[in-house]
Amino acid sequence: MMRFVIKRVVQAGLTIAGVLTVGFVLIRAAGDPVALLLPENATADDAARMRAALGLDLPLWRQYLMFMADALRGDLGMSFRQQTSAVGLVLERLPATMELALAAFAIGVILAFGLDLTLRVVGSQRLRHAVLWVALTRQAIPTFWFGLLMILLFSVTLRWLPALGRGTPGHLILPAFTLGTYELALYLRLLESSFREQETHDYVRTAYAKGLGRGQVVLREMLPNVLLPMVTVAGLNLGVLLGGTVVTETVFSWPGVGRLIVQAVSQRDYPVVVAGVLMTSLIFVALNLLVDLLYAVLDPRVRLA
Amino acid sequence: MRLARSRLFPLDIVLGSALLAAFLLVAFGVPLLPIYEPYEQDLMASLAEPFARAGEKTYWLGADALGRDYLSRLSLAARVSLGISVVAVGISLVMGVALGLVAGFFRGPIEAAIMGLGDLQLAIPRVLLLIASAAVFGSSIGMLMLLLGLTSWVTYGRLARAMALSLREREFVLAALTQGASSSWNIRRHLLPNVAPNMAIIASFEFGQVVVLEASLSYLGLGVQPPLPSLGLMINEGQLYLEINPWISILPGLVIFALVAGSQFVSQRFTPENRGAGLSRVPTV
Amino acid sequence: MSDASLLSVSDLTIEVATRNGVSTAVEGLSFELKRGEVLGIVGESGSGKSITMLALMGLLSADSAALTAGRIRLEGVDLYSEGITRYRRAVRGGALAMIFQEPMTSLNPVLTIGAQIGSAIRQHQPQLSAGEVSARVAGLLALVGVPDPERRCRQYPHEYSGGMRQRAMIAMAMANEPKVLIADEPTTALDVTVQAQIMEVLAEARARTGASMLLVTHDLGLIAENADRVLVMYGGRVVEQGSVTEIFETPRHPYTIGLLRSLPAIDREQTSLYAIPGQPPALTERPQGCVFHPRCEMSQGRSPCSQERPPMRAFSSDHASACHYAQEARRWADDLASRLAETAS
Repeated sequence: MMRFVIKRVVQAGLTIAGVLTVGFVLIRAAGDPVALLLPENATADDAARMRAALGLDLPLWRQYLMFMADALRGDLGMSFRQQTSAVGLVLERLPATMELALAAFAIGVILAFGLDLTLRVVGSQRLRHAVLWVALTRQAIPTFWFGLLMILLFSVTLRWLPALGRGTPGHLILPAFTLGTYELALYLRLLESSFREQETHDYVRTAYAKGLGRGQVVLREMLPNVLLPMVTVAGLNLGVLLGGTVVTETVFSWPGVGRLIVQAVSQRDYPVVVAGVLMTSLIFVALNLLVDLLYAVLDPRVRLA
Repeated sequence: MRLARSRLFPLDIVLGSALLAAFLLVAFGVPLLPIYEPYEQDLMASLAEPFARAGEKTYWLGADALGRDYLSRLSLAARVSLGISVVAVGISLVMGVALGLVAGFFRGPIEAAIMGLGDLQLAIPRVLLLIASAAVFGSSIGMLMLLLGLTSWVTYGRLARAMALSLREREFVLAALTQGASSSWNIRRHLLPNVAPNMAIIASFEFGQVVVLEASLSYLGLGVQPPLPSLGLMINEGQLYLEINPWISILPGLVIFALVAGSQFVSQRFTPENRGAGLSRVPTV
Repeated sequence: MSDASLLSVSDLTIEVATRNGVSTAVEGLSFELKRGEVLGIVGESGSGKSITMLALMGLLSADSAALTAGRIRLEGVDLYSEGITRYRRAVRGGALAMIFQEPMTSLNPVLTIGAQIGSAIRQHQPQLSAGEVSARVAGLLALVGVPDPERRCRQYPHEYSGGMRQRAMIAMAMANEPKVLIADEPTTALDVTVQAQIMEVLAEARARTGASMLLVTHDLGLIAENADRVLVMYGGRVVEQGSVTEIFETPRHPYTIGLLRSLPAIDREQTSLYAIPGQPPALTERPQGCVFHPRCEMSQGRSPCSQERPPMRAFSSDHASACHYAQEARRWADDLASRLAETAS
C-alpha cells in the first residue's frame, strides 16, 4: 500500500514536470514576444533592454531552469495585454469553470447511476437498450452544436432561459445541461459495459444461487465490483470534461478558464494561453492522483497487499 | 421459453450505413449537380432560408450571410472536414502503431521514453493541447492535420505496445529471432499483421472523435480559415444569425452528426463487448 | 412417485444458443433422488451434466439456454410450472443449494467471506438478528474446518487458499440446511491432497443436516467412494443408471464399460487401459439413433444403432441401460478385458 502511494506520487510529480516542460516549449515556439510587447516606435536598444529584462538573452537551458523555478513558485509570466500575472488571470476565472464542470459532472454521474441502476433492477432490458441508444446518439453530437440547439430551443424560441453569461442560477442551467448530457451518455455506456463484463463472472451465479433477487445481486454484489474500475475511468474522463468546458464556455460566453484561453489566443497573449492550459492540466493530474489513491483505499486486493 | 435468434441486419449497422450514405451523398453527390457554386456570392440571397428563390436561382438549403449557396458550401465543407480527419487518423494510426510496436518489442529505455511521452500527452486534455499548439504553430490545413494526428496516437500506441509485449514471447517470434531474423523484419512480418485488426477498430472509433475535434477547433476559430468552409466554422458563423435563420448553424451540425454517428454506430458492432466477451451468468428469473 | 423421492426430474430437455443456432444440450433426461442418498452423475465434458444442474437451480443463463420441455419436482412441486417464479427463487439457496466447480472465481472478490455467507442466511432467515447471523457464519466456517473462523470471516477471498475457498463455498451452501445439495465437480479444480479433505467435509456436513446430494463429476473414483447410485450421461442423454455396485460390477452399456476400463484399478490384474475411440460429439453434431454408436465397438455397424434411439431397459429394480444390445454387454466386457490383458503381457 505505502509503496503504491509513494510510486504514484512520484509519478504525478514527473508528469507535472513534463507538463511544465511542454508549456516552456510552447512559449518558446510562440516566437519573440518583444515584438508584440513594445510600442511600434521602439528602438533596437529598447528591444535589447527588454530582452535582458525578460531573461531572453540567456542560453536556452538557463531560460528553461528559470521558467521551471518560476513555475514552482506559481509564476507563469505576465499577460502581454493586461499588466497582471497570467496565473492571477486564470485563478480569477477558475471558480466559474469549476462551477460548470462540477455541475455537469454531478448531472452526468447522478443521472447515469440513477437511470442505469433503476432500469437494471426493475426495468426491462429493452428500455435500458433504448436509453443506451439515446446515449450513443448524444455522444455523436458535437457539444458546441448541442449547446447551440439548446440556446435555439430554450432561449430563442421558448425564451425560458438566458443564453449567455453567468450570474443567476438560470445562467448555469443550459451550459451545465449541455455538458452534463455528454457526461451522462459517457457514464451510461461505461456502466453498461462494466456491468456486462461483470455478468460473465462466476460470483454472479453464486449470488443468484444463494437466492438473492436481481436488486440485491446488482446493488450489493455487482455494484462494488463495477465501482472500483469506474473510479479510475472517471478520473481519466475528467480530462474530457475539462476539455469540454473550454468549448461550452465559448458557446455560452461563460467567463471561465476556457473562454479566457480562447480569447487570449485571438489576442496572441501566449503567457495566458499557456498558463490556462498548464493549470487545467495540473488540476487534472492532481485529481487523477487523488482518484488512484482512493482506488487503493477501496480495493481490498490493493489495500491489504 | 424460447431462445431468440440474432438478427441478420442489426439496427446499428443499418442506421449507421444509412447515415454514412447520406453524408457521402452530400459530400460527393452535390458537386455533380448544376447548382454547385460554393464561392459565388449574391448579396440578394444573403441569409436566404431553405428553398428560397432569388433571381432565377433556387437555394435548396438557403444561403449564408454572403449569399453563397449553402448546399454547395456544406458539400465542400464536408469534404474538407472528411479529408482533414482521414489524414489525421492516418497519421496517428501510423505513429501510434509504430511507436507502440517499437516500445513493446525493444523494451528498456526506448519503451520508457515512448510510454512516458504518451502518459504526458494524456495528462493534458486533448482539446487544450490542440488549442495551445494551434495558437502557437498556426492553423493551415496541413498543420491542422499534423496537430490532430500528433495528439491522437496514444490510444493506438498503448494497445499496440501491450499486444507486442505478449506477442514477442510467442513461439513464432522467438523461433524467428533465434534464426537471426532482424528486428524490423519481425515487427513487420509478425507483429504488424497481428495488431492490425484491433488497430482498425480503434481507428474507426477515433475517427468520430477527430471529426468532432476538428469541428470544435474550427468553431473556436483555430481550425480551417475562411474562405475555405469547414463544418465547425459554419456553425460559428451561423451563431450570429441564430434568431434570423437558425438553419445556418443547424445544417452543418447535422452533416457532422451523420458522419460521426454513422461511423460510431457501425464500429460499435465490432467492439469486444459486442463480440461475445463471454457467457452471461445472469439467470432468466 | 414414491414416498421417498425428494427430487424428481422427468423428460427434461434443455436448448442452448450456439454460434450456429439453437442446439439441444440435454434431451429426455429423467431421474429421481431419494431422501438422504447421494446420486452420482458422471460423464465427459459436454455431456450435459452441468447445465442440468443449473436448470435444477433455475440458473440457466438468460440469453443462452432455456428449458423447453419436462418437469422438475421438488417434494412434488413443479419448479417450472406457471406462476411459481417466487417459489423457485425461495427454493434457490434454501432447500436447493449448489457448490460450483471453480472456488477461485465463484466468490465475490470485494466482499468478505463472512458477508457473503451472511447474505445467504439473511435471505432465507430474515428473522435472525445481525448477531445471530454472524454467530451462525462462524459456526458454519467451523463446521467445514476453516480454522479461527471469527477472524477469517472478516477476510476477503484472495486471502483464502483454493481449498479454503471451497470450504467457504460449502459453508455457504449449507447455510440454510438444504434438502438437496448439488455439488458440480467440487474437487476438480483442487490439488489431489485437498480433494479428499473436501469430500470428507461434504460428507460430514451432510451427516449433520441429512441432506441428499447430487455429485456431478467425471471422476469415477469419486463416485465409487461417495455415491449410492449413479447416472451415466453421454451426449445429453442418460445411457445407464443404477446402484454403484451394479454399475461398477456389471455395467450394461458399452460406454460405461469403456469408461471403467479406461481407469487404472488397484484390485485388478495388470492390463492395458482402454481408450474409447474418437471424440465426444460436438453439441451441434450429435448423431442420429444411439448417440454413442459412432464410437461404439460393440455395435459393429448394426443398423438399429444408427437408426433408432435406444429406450431405457431395466435389468433389475435399480439398474437400467439404454443400449439396443445391452444383453450382449457382459460378454463384450469380458472380451474387452481379455483383449486388454493380452496386450499388457
